[in-house]
Amino acid sequence: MLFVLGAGSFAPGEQLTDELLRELGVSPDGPVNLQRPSTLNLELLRASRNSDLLQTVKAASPSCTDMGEQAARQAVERAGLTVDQIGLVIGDCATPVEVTPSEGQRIAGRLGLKVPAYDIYTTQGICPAHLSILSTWRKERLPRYTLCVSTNAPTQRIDYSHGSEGWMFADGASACVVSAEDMRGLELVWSRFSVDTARTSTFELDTLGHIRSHGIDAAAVRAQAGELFSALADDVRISEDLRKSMFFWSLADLPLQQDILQAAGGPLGEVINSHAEIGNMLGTSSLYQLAAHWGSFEDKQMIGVLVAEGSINYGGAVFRVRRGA
Amino acid sequence: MTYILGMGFARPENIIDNQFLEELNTGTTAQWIVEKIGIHTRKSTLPIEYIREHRNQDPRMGRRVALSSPTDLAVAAAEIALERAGISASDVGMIICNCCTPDYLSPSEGQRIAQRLGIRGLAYDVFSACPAFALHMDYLDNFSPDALPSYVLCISTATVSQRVNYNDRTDGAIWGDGAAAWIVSSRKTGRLKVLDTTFMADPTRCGAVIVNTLGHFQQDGRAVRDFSVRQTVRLIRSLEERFALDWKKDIFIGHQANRTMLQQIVDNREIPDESHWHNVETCGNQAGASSAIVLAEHWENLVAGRRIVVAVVGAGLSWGSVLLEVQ
Repeated sequence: MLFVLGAGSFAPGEQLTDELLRELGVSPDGPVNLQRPSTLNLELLRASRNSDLLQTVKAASPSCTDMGEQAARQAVERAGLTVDQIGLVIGDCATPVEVTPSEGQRIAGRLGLKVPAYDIYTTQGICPAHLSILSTWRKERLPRYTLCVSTNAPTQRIDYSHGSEGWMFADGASACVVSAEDMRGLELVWSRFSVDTARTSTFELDTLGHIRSHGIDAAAVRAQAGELFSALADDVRISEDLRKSMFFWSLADLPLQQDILQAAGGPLGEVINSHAEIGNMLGTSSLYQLAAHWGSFEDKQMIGVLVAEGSINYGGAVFRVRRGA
Repeated sequence: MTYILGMGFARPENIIDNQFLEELNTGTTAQWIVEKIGIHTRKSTLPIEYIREHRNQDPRMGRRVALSSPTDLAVAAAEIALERAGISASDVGMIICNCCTPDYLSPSEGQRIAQRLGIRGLAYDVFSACPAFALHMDYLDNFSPDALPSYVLCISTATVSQRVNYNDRTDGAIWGDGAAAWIVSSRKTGRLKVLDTTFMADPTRCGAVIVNTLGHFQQDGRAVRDFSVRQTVRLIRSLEERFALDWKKDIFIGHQANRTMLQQIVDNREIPDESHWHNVETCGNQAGASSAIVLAEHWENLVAGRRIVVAVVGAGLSWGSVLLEVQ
């Protein structure tokens, strides 16, 4: 049994608006009127389109570690804890400023912690990857409180000089505090973390270069969503309650998502698509909107997160709210 | 109980010797290198002429001309580990990988290796740079036994020479490239039984060792050296107290950072030469792969009943240990 005691999020203040992207020559490749929070220096962006990555990263603010630290502190505060109660920090970051040390270690260092810290990196982020993994640990091996943090700044790695590459991406961080002993908040009642290496990732990021998107494979999304819906329907403990649930499922192709949900006959309750509001924050997205809604969940409500984008990683998590979160 | 069923390693062919480094005229000499860090040669994925001409000032150029990648080395190491474990890639249910110099940030290195090997199970990165062997073994010890597949492939791979500024008189002398792979099972018995694992960190000091994503390796050499010796000694002492180690029979493998540091450690713990396995003097610091490569090199001549201490330290700052018993 695993509980999410508090979840936090952080997004930078600057935004890449539709108008700005059109000004840069980026054509729409997804929903419009997105917020797209970004760490980019907009003046430099207009001048360089991110052609010089060193210059871009140097001028960007806040850093991934800055954002991760803020999200982490919010998660800890919402959990009603202090930072020194954290016994393990697990990080996730696809756009680190330094490939060594791990992002988890950098964030733990910022928090003043001297505890085990490392990255579990899947590009899927905290939810469901970290949570699914932690839920299979022996209870005695899990510290009383574990902090999971995902932080990404993909806008720093977009070549804004052509095409539609930059339309969807945004920067931000999300974090949560989990416990197997302190039983309150969101109880993890179902999770699945799957990797299909036969698939192509929806994007590739060269360590020394820019993001290259491969687009969304609609058939793959349908297959993954179908598999997850079946698994959810088969779990009699939760299947009935899911119709009254709040689900977070970020997918850049809104019409495809609506088509899949309609075809499935509504296995889920309300579905919130964070890509359609704030953009694609890579692995951060899966928990970002859940954290942004923290405090609005009703007792005993079912909350879910789905990751089904037709990429290598997919999965989901379902929580039952305990004592309000 | 957890076992290691097979281990493999891979290194590139190009040898950087101390004479070559002296001829780069960065202010170092072959004699200084041997006296201070005890390394004679190291293996690199970079062409020698490229280093001579360009000093790897721009890592992008280094990447373009590199003769192999961390993924290439990892796949080669994994194939040996699989063969020694007597299994095929399709038997592997999970891969975890550590790589401090990935060519790609996405997909993860573990997933890229899985794709190359045709492995269809879970694949992701569990990362803490140099103490990877201890981290992975301690990480796997967290799981309920039935939560792990029969065979887990662990990999640590790095091509740090591609992130070295060869105008720096010290960094070029330290690093070599390499990959190690090992097959772990909590359901099948194997050659090495895992008796104990630890992993710990002090992230408040994580700035002491860095690899800039778009640049080069940097470290606070003195601080890291002091930490490395002290922490390794503590790790060994803890195991000595808990397991009554006997250095006449048991073996020590440390992080292969430099030979003079390792000598300080073995002198402190009175570990005789024949009980100390190492390869740093010919291979350089192979980052998270280094200690596992030493163990893999000895795979064919492991003697039943002997215990092996692997005590490793590194970036993060993090450290850990694994105590193994040869079956």
